[in-house]
Amino acid sequence: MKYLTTIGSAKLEFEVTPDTKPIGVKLLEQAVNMDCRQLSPNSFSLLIDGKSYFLTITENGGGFAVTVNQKTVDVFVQDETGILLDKFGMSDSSSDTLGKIIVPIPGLIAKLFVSPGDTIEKDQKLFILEAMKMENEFTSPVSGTLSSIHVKKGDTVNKGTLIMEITI
Amino acid sequence: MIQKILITNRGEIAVRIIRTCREQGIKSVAVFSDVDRTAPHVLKADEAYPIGPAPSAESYLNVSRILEVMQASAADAVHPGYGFLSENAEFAETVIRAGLKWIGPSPDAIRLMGDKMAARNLAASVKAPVVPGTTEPISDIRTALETADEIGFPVLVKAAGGGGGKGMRIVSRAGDLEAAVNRARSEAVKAFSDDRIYIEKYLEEPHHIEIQVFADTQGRVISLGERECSIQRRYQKIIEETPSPFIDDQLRRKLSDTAVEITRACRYTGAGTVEFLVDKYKNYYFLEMNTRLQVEHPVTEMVIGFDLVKEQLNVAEGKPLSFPDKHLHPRGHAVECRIYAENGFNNFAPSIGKILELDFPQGPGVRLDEGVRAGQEITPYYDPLLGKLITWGQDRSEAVERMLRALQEFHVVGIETSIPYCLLIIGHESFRSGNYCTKTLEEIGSTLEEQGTSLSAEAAIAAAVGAIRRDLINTPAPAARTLERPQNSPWSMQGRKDGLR
Repeated sequence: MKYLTTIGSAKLEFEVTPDTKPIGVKLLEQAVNMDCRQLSPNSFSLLIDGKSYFLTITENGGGFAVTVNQKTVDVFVQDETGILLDKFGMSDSSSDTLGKIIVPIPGLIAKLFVSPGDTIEKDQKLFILEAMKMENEFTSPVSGTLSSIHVKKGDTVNKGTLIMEITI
Repeated sequence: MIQKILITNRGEIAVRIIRTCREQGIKSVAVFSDVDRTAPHVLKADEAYPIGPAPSAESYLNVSRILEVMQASAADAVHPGYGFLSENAEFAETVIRAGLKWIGPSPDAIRLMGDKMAARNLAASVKAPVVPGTTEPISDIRTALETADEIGFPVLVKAAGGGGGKGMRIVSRAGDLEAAVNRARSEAVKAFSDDRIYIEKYLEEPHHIEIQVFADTQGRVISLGERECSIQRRYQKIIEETPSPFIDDQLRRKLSDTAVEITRACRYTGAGTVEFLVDKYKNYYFLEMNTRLQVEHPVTEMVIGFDLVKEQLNVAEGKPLSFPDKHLHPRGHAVECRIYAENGFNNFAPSIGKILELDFPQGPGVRLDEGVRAGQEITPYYDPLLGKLITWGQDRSEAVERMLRALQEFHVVGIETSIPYCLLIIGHESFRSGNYCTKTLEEIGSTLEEQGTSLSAEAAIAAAVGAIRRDLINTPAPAARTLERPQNSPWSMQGRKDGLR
């Protein structure tokens, strides 16, 4: 069956026969001579044409974070069903995420400069996140109205926490 | 004789100290916060006691609770490591007053050298060059502007109690000075409860070079050579090496002599580090003295072959240092990479979470001072240093090649680390050639970032195939779901095992 993998802007389509031993993989009609073994829940050994790769793989937001040669990339895998859904335009779109302010690092909300209902200009200071005793200032990527704040001063937040939402 | 040491620290440095204690037949006592109950320093120590909730202020800085542990454990000495209470003169005094040995310099020396301006004045008194700048804390923005104009932009705005890049800002235009001073002040108040700020000249292509000094109670003061610490991000060191590829024997001697004089002048005992800035013209300036064991002390240990923690214990017991009388004979070259829980390609954002898998590098010339284990949760409460990887070689190129090899063998799953970033820095032409300064990382940062996320076509195929294989564990292919599987397929067996977890 077909598998489509996406790494950044690169897409690779594989023809996989998972039931054979070893697993059959074809890329661009060309058989890939490979042997893949799982070493532990997150580690794999891969031999492709005799060349050895050590991979660590963890799940990451619908895809996988794959580390190879100490480089980590996000790989999204779609099987035939997924490819079909995509063709019919049924995958989720993400056009309204621009005004969602999400922190990329964990830390402490040291200061909030805005309140719900405020009119926000692009590049306006929104809040200060203190991480490892460093102050990180966050500014607005968009202009609009602040519709909600999900934290208060003094809160400890994790990476990926939605802090506030701005309606454009 | 010291029988039992209370270590008022955590992470790799606590583990490092415990190791020497064990070798010396001394009992070690660990302290831990609520989130550190199963951290390696607790597992490795002979005894361990809880000291409070996760935030440092309520645990590792909680002096009254630590004093209770001191009593309860009947320890006869305290080793503070670095950070936390290591440069807190009042704490050192309290320990001494309670009748325990303090493994560090005297409270007076800590107090004197911990005050940046007093330290500057002391250095000037032994004719050590200091960086042009204010000798008094700046009181208002107008005097600050005048001083900055006088010494010339760019200037560095620094906190008196600062260190590790906290409360520090470079300002290149007069218009930015006020904001920078305010921010530095606010960070300084939070980090060290000291709002004094001063300004100094920002140097051209500066190198950060430090001298490891040691002094015993018999009056012997010795330099153990330099460490080149110019690879820094956010003013925090990430890679160190010794000897420095930048300085020659003449400058090495000058730095050593100056460091020894400063150490003598402040009546220092124990291990200390005198930091210098050296500009591209090889002018050198005294920066500060760190009155504790330094994070990067292992590179010195690797080339001189002495255990610095053991020497600290000698000094605390009033014994003479065991270094040879005349000259030390450093051998070979050592490099250290700090392994932080952070993403070098995303503005050094700290990474928290559980370490799912951990594979340490081994082999010839490799040393790892680690403070973490597989299964451990990395929390946002403490410094993100997971450990230090040190390699030794007969010469610089052997040490560097070993570091590249060791970094490639180092696998951490579950959190992001500085390993990929260190690998690219060490492999970069400017590091390999030894031609770098404190600005290099900033200059090559974007190149590293591109390299860090680009895969060769071959590696991309490997990553894609691996991901498909991993995806099959979550979602077995339709055929596998419907067909009755023969019992001898290793893949379906593995799938079932995973399902049972």
